[in-house]
Amino acid sequence: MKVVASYNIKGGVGKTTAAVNLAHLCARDGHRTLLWDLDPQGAASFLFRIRPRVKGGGKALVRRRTTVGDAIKGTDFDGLDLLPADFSYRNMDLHLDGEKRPTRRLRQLLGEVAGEYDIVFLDCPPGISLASESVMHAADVLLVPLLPATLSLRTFDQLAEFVAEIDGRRPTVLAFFSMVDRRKRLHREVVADTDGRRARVAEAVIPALSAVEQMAELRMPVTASAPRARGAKSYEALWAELQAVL
Amino acid sequence: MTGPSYEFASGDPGDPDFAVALAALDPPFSTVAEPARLVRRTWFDTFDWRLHAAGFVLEQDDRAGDHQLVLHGPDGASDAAPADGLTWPVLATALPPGQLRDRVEAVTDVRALLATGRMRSLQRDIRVLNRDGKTVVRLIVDVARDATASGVPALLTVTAVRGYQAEADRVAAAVGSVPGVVPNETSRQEHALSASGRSYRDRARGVVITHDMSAAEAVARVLTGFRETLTVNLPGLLADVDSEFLHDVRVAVRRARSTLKLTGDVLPAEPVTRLGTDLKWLGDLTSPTRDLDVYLLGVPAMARGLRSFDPADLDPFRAHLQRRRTTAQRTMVRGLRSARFGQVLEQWRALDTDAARMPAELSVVTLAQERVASARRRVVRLGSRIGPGSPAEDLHTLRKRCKELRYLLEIFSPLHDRLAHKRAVDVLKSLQDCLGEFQDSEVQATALREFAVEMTTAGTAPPVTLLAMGELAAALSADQERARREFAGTFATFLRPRNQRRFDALLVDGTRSEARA
Repeated sequence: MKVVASYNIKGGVGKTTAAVNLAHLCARDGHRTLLWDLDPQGAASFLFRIRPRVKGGGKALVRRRTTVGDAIKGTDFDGLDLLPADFSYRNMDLHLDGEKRPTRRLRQLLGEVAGEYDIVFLDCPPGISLASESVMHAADVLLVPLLPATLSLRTFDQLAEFVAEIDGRRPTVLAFFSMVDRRKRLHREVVADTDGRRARVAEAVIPALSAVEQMAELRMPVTASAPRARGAKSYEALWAELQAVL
Repeated sequence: MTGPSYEFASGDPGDPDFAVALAALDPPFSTVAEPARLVRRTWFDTFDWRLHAAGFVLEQDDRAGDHQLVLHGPDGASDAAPADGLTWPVLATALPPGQLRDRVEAVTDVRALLATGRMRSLQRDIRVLNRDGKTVVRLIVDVARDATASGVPALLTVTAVRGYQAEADRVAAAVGSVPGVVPNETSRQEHALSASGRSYRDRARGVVITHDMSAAEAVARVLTGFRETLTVNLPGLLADVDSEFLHDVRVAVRRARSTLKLTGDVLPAEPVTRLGTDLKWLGDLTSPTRDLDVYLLGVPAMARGLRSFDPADLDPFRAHLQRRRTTAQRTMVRGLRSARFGQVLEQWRALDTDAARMPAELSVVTLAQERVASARRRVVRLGSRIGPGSPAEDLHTLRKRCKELRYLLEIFSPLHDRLAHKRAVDVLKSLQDCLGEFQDSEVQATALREFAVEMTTAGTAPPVTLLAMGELAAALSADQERARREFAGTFATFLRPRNQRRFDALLVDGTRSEARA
């Protein structure tokens, strides 16, 4: 089982959109896929029409009073399941802190379903915390959406340094530009300027498109609602690069 | 995880689409129906229902050009594999590699998978949505479409999407409360089987002999059972579907011959003598093919046991066996399609009439007691004479007498106390296994030498193959020597008074009701 965490310290950069669309493509291609909505806002759960509720909350999951298996819900898409968000995940740091080896906890929990899934996507909340560290220890790939802005790249460098200093198992970092508006010179320049970082930045670029924004209206991945549209195709390209890394 | 599914049958022929039941779901649910599609399903199992006995259902689903094999396990799990390119019947080894093949092969072993029933249905998927528009339950409406489907009800399956079992339970309760909708008790597979004239109980039929029968009637009944076994396996044997059809025919013939030899004196002499001759002919006719089947089935294990050679070094040997087998099988089939064979079956059938003319003074109970006791005494006498210096032939003869005792136990098993019978068979089986290993090792080692000569003459034996076959022959000789050393102790165990008494305590008091062989 491989774990891909859609993560950035910053919010509003396209983490959920990426996690939802890539998870859908992954299942479409025949892989048994799980998406864990770790964000207490529950956006991914909303997109799949699944109520953001876990029996006993995040605490019960972390303490194994509710098993991961029991909390999982099937989506409307074959081969794709969702472990829903819960508002109590806002206290995930507290829940983890009460455990032995808190940074290993998420990986242990995912181990319960390792035989059922080929790939797990984690839709992570923004910020950097104990929960984020636990995600990094659990993930094989850290998928980092970047806005095409100078400060975004700076934050990304900080993240890359942080990952490099992790003790023990480290995820592979793969960044990609998200919400890119080619009409904006700054966006074009920032994307072009990362030639030197190509080893860690994907060639696939996710455009800022209304079709992507409409996901919240239609409540389904754009790769399902408009598979031939530009937005969906860009996620296909990203998925291809992600598979190469996995 | 997902809990149980529910299946309902429509008792109302005017509502095959369960429209009333679906209407009952709203509110709080709504439904979205997909277009109907024509589905062709074929179910598969071995001739002796091995998958069914193990709780599996294997079906092929053909819809819109997509051929999919699905295996439903007793644990509720399902595995799928593409069915393209398969020409049935097939052995499990011909299925696409993967979990499905592994699970099937573990059950079916050397038996081929045959189509046991077919059905066409019009199926419609219906999604049950909650108030958020989320699919929480999946329904499938299945309406049979075959000409033989008259009277076969429409079915509705209710399955929860993972995590929504409570909703599925509510849907099932609502559907089940609609008049005319009842829990389904007959699967589509069973409907299809019934339409093809087959049943899971095909193989369960056995020979019925009872304590109140005369010896003649019981023996005739037993022989009839063996004839029916032969007849029912004959088509599969002639079509060479798998090796077990021939094996089962030969077992039936062997047991029939033993029955004639050990108890045939209760029937008219002349038909018994004639049938005995005919059954010997049948045994001889089928022997070469079966022997070669056994070698071919055993080659993989032999190859794995090689220490100094590669398993692939035996490939020329396997090819030689296969060529010999093809020739032997053709000869056998010619014989089984011959007029003589037809006459054999006719005369065998006629034995029922002959038996009816025999006096009924001798009861089957008396016959059973006498013959089992007599056979056991022969085993004890012969075995007690065998010492370290006795020739191999003495052990082979003892093996035959043990087989006769075993056959008598099996023939008369309906008259025996079940536990006592099992204990007696267990005691005898240990001795038979030892003698069997002794003789089979010798026979196989001799056969290997003969094959080696044939292959050398034909120029199909690379030196490394001959050397590998030599290693196999040496291993067989070692097995034979080990069995020989173990014989004395094994026979001493058989002779123990406690074990001998097991053969005295077989018959129940005759008050047991009718039992099956």
